[in-house]
Amino acid sequence: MKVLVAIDEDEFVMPIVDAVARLFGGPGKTVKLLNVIDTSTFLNDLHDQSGPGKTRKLLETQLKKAAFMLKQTRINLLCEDDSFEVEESVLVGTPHRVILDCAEEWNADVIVIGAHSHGDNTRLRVSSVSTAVLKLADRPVTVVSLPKSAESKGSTLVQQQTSLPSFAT
Amino acid sequence: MVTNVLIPIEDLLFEDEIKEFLVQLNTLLFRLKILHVLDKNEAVMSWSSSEYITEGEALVRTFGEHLKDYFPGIQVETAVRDGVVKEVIANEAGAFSADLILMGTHGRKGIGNFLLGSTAKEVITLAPCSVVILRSKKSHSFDKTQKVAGANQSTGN
Repeated sequence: MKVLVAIDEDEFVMPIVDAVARLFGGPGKTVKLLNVIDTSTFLNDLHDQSGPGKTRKLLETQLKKAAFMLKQTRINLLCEDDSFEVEESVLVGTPHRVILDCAEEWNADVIVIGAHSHGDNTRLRVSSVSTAVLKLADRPVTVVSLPKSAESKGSTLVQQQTSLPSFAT
Repeated sequence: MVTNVLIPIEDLLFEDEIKEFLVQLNTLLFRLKILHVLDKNEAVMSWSSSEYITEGEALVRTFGEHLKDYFPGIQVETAVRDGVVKEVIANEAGAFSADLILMGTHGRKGIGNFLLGSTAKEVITLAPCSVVILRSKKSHSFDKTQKVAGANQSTGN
């Protein structure tokens, strides 16, 4: 079985690793860890005075960061289940398109993506990339529910603190 | 390790895809719960609610038996509930302590195949666990033939 795992931020590595190991662990499974560097946002930089040089530098840092994150993910995944065969891949382009193309090319049996909340406390918001993948995929897609992102963590902590006394009374 | 899998179904369309996916999971020690939700918003006036419930129970029973035949010795529970579909599915997943919700998407509302089923998307936003969305291979090929038929019509005119 071939599992394509798309990871976008390093804070979500552990929940995704946990879910992949729990759901797809066991012998004979190949996992491809994929990070896509979104170059659709780089286009603006081309019109910048400092131009392509700046863009290249930005791209280089992002590539390094992504490679490090995937290595970390690989180690974590193998700690959970060492029977996985793990591949790493950093690609550049428009995220949902790259994820879908990669799934087709690699002939993935399932795509794993994360969905996390951005600010709103009650509902899990599915990012635009995840939504696009879900809409357009022609194979099973696993959506792992992730903890709230860093900015909203503060607000939930505050909320918990304020709600605690009322809970006690 | 036992994996609790909640399978909300509306029809038997995704049976093959669901079996295929379960086979690929790491364990064969599943506890499956097949759930059919009666959407109150879509109630047909001419049908009494008891007819709806009998129909739903027959559906989950049939599906459960198919899965039991396919995975001998497996534990299968069935349930028919009514209410708001996304909320019922999310609550049931919590009560069943599901590790996974496994569901198909028709994508019928809106622009057909191009859109993700509205129920599937709503379930993702409320689910306490991971959700697997399956695409029907049958409806895929059906849509293609539909498109071809449409193209022929337009050229004919």
